[in-house]
Amino acid sequence: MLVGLVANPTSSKDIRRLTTLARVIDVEEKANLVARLLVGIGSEKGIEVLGLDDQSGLLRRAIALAGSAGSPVDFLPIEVEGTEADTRRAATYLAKMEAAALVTVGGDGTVRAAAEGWPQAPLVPLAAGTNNAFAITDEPSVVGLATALAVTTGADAFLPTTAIEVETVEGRSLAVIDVVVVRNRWVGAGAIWDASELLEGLVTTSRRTAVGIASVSAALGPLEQGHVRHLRFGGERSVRAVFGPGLILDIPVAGHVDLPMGAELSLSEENGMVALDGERRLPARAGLVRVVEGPRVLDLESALRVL
Amino acid sequence: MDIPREHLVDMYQTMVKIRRFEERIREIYFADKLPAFDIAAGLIPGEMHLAAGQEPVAVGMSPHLKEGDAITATHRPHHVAIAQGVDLKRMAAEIFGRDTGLGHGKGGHMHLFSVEPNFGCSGIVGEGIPVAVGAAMAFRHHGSDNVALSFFGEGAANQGSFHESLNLAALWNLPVVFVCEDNAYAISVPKTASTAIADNSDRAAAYGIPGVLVGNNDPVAVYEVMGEAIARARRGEGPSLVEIKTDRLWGHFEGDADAYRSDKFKTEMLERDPMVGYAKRLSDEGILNESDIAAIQQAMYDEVEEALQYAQDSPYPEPESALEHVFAERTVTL
Amino acid sequence: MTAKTERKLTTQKAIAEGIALEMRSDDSVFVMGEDIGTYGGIFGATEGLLDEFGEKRVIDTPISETGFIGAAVGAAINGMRPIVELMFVDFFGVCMDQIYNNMAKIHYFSGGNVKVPVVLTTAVGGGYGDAGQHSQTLWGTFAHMPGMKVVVPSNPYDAKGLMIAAIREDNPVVYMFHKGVLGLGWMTPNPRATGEVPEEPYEVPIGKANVVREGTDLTIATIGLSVHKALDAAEQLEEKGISAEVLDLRSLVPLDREGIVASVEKTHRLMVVDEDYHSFGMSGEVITTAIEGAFDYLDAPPVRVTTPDIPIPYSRPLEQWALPSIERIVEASSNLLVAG
Repeated sequence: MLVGLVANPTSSKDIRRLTTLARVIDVEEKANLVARLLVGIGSEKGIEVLGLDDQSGLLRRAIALAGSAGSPVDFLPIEVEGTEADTRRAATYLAKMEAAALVTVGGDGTVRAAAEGWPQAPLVPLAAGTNNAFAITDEPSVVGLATALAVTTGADAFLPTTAIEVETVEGRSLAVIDVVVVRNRWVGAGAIWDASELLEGLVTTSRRTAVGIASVSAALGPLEQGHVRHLRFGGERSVRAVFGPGLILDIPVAGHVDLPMGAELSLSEENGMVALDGERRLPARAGLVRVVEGPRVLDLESALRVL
Repeated sequence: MDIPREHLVDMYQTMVKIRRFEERIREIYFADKLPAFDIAAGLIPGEMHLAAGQEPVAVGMSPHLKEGDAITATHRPHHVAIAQGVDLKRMAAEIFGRDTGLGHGKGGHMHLFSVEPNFGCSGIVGEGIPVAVGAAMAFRHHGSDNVALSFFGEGAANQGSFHESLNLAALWNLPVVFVCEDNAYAISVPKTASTAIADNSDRAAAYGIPGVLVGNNDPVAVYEVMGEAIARARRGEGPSLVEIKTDRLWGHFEGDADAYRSDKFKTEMLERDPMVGYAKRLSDEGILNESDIAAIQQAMYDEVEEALQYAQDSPYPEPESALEHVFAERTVTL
Repeated sequence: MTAKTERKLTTQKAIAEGIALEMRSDDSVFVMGEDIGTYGGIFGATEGLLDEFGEKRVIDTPISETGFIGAAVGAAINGMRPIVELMFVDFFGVCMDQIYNNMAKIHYFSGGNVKVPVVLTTAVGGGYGDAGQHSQTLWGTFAHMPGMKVVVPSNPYDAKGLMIAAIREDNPVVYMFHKGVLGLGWMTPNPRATGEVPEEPYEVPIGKANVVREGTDLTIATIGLSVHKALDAAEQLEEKGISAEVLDLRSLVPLDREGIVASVEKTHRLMVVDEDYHSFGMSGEVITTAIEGAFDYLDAPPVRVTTPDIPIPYSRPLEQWALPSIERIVEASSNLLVAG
């Protein structure tokens, strides 16, 4: 059985180190996480791990750390540029190889890039980022074991999610947690930390414990499965949200509406940037969003029930 | 927080000035050293370390600086000095070894010192880092909200002075921003062969200060991060480490065969030349049109030429003046 | 020298007093180094300062010489007047770049535009069994590099006056205090380490030697603790009918070449006592100065009593044999008188 592995060495090192209390997860710490994951996977025989090499040596360090207890790992035959395009291409390649699972290690941005490369991927998103609204924060060896069991037992332990497809003049992109239109017109340092910039947004989850825009959505009430919530920011009424690590803000929300699977919406703002899963990415001009099926995500409990 | 147009344009303008300056210095440097390269010959003798490609690292801080902020830099200082607003004529004259230079010809290209703005650089790797810590101590003593910035390369991050300085700045909560220009090569040694860990921004955690990685050579990303780091320091919240991945387009020094970097690497670097990328984005965003860009280029070329001409027209210092300025005269007597 | 009171201080206390007086009158003066605060300096050079001036101006540092000496340079460039202590001169190896390449050269590189008013204090000297890495003097090394003044007081009066002068200098000054002249209670007692010191601020000029004992038969030019030994030797020589002039150089940069020449013109014989290593240092410089300036006045080749070019050994008989002693000075002086 084939399991893909994409670990992002640059997650959680961005400007939010200065603007919030976001912690650093350095490459050595991530290597440790991935090593524990590999040991978890390695406890089942018959699994081949195909991993994306990186310019920081993260995967290689992890392999060395895990030693013989870890699952053997081969490197994806993909040229590494050191950008998120690597993640996307890796996911596309693994889709072609029909991998039984795609493990990502990073923040929400890493998950997004993987989902863009393989929209319906059987994802195991291991958390190692600033905002982990989507990713799994459990102990990596448990996650590794659960992944191994999920792919070898044949039982479908992956649950469906909802995602947002974004179409602008620059083409199509996917977001797995949120799409936000902000006043800033520059990609710059990528992250968003200034709530006064928010114009409108869409969120796929109302998990109460989420951080970021998802926290705003959660404050407005539960979101039905297969739906996406559209938010308009501004106005008199505010909701309290955990906008970032150690950053609790009152965000003015003028209104919201829940959109069902397949729904389409034009973004109203002309001048600004569209941020996907917390990172500024595309100009907002002529933006169209669509509610689509997202990647499937491993349900740890149900995978481990096999033991 | 939309970025003011003025800042975006100023940064581009400064980048053009830097690139033009570096290109012209390079031309002049080689002009009278060839055909057989003689390092001692010509208008600019000695070593020359140019920063083409590293413009974004320097210009990102400029809009956030205020009068009195202190900067220390390295043997590759021109982009930082220009971004801080060091007098271009006097800087050029110093590089040409003339009496009108910043140091009356005594320092040269690696030892440029300016009082206003407050700039110094050094030919010893890592030497300026503790000096920025000291400047920050002085600012704190005087109760000002000035900030000290120290620029150094990824090679310097393995020098003891780097570690001692971060510890001191963190221990005493000083207003310093440590800026690591990662151009991936310390002369010919790649970072993968010199540094035990992947990213120097991770080293900040060892000293209890925040470390931020700017993973691309983008002036706007640098602008945002430097803005936060500098503001934080001014507010008295202490030091931070900013690591910026940038590109050293040319060799370590002028005359470097640069054979240790592959042609593919060099081609890829040129393809992501920040001058081209930033100009295009400014144009796409409607901030500058073709004629604006041409006007900026012309103006900056003229300014650079004026400075170079001033330098070339300036007299050399008298030989015996070599004995002057070892010590300062006393200004206070008992 | 004008003594205004009969008050006596040890050299160590005189240094601390000099610093305190300047810190009182100039808010930009501050002190930093290892153990200079709570402890008052391992050798007491900063005794009492933390209590009087507080921890913002008397700063105990981590063991980071490159870091804090570099910081002193940065602070000095930016309007402060730091006094920074390198605990033992022997430790210069870990931070010499900041001292000789940075601190000493910035004024020159900037064409005189940037001033670096740092006082680098440091303890020098041996003779009490502290072995090869804690007993050196090394003034030859520091004096050899351009851009920093070097002063080495031998007595309490000069120590305070030179400290005040050093602080008021707008240049880097390496202020080397010999442990044996400090008058520390935990070192072998030394009567010459205590002396009259006026209470008010005063300066001793940097770059001026001092004839501490007039004589006619030979000049003993020396510095630091060796001044005491030369004075003791001179007393013994007196009984033998030899009149020795002891010239306390006090500064090595600038070196009082005129003072050396003037003394040699008078006595016609020169001995240099140098506790630093024999070769390539102070003794060679002083002798050459005499030859260049007073060759015709010399009745005999100059001689030197120095520490040989060896790491300073630990065992007492070895160390006492190696370092300049009163006996060696007396013997060499006697020989010098019959030479030529």
